[in-house]
Amino acid sequence: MSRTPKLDKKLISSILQQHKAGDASALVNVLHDLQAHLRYLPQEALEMAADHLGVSYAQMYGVATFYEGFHFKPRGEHVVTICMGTACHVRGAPRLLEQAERDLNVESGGTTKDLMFSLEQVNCVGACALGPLAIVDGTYKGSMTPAKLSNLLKKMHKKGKK
Amino acid sequence: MTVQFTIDGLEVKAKEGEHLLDVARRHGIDIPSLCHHEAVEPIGACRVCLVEVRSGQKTTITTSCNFLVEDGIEVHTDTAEVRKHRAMNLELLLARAPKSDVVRKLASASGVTRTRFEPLAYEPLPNCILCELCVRTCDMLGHHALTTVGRGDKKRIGLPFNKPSDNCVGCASCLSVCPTQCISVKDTPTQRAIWGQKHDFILCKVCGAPVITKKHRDFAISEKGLPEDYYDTCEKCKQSAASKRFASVVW
Amino acid sequence: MQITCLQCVEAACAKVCPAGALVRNEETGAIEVLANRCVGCGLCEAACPFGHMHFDTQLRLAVKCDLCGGTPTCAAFCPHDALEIR
Repeated sequence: MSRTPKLDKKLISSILQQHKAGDASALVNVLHDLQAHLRYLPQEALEMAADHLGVSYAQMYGVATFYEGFHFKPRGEHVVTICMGTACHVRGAPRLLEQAERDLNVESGGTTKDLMFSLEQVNCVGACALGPLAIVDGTYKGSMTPAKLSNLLKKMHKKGKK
Repeated sequence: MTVQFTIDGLEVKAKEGEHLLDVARRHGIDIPSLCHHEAVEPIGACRVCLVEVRSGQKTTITTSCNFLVEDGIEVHTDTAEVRKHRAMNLELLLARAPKSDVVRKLASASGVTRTRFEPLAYEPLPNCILCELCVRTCDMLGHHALTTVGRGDKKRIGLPFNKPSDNCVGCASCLSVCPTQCISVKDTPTQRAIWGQKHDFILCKVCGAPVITKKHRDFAISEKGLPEDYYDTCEKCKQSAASKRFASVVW
Repeated sequence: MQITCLQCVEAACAKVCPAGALVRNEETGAIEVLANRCVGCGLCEAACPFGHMHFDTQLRLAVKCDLCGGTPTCAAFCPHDALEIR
């Protein structure tokens, strides 16, 4: 089964309907909402959103690319984020990242071929006391070790395959 | 409302809401700039048009192109401070556009002939200074094909998803307004290649020379309402047809 | 027979110009190109029915007869007084 999120134009329309038509000031909110549901920002969604808000498609794309948080390629079902802030870094975050890269066979910023995982790094999330820190689908997992992370990823992978 | 102030000691009057650079140029005071164009809104991108504005106790160095004139300000266009900052900005621009004659000329006028900064290998538009004049012009024309992509040192000018755009009509105004002429436009007798796509020309019904792109004509017809046969003949053939027509009336 | 810009009352060039760069000089009656406003799109050249809008491919700007500011040099130079300004 392909994990590529199928483009659901009805879903996109219903997301857009929650925002006032022609209200360009909602642009970033709309981008957030679209990505929350679709996991990335496909071209069609940006085109439909531009029409709805009355801004140009080019402007929509320009604003979206300005922010690091928006993605334009399909992303994994699970997002694993490794904190690379100073505190996490000195406590071994680079080894966490290496482990995840090896286990998932992707580079930081990439998505596995089966679209199950996306791996990311951030420069400090402000939870330094918990370091080294991995964030898995929004849940903060402190005092992480390469072995613990590796197990966690394996478990998630098994669960996802079922 | 009229406002009154001085530029380099000269008393000038302007309307409220006018920009300083426009007022200065109208009074024959030259302030250099790269990204300013009267047909579009100024955004202060190139930072070359710096001036010193004194207002009461406060003195600021600011871009004049997007500075709204105020009553009673004292503007100086050529102080040591202005020259220093302008030279710095031009040195940075020179790193971005080392091959641009316009930038080099402006820089050397400010005493900058070489740059200490690493040249930026800037693909796909070498010598682009990211002034967005092309983007602003494309928007003003109603095409909305171009945009800035990304931010910081990865920022560039391009089309959404780097794919050919339905909105681009191939008018090449982006190149016409570009201060460093860094946009690639290649014309053959039948086609124009621009922004990674090809546009068919309308060919003169008499001699076959290119007139404008089909998409540009279609846009013009829908926006401006002139009939289609206004665009089907080239300049030279229209001239000779007009001459013949007038001759037949006169004699 | 040689003709030049007719400075049309309802000028196609000014009508199509998207930048408002073609305006009539009320003093001379000529339609002039405001070079600082022209964005070099080339529409005026394509639209003029008489072929008297030109595009300077070096400067990438529209150029046209502006009646030399009211005293056309062509009329002054014509050796046979075939051109006159009225």
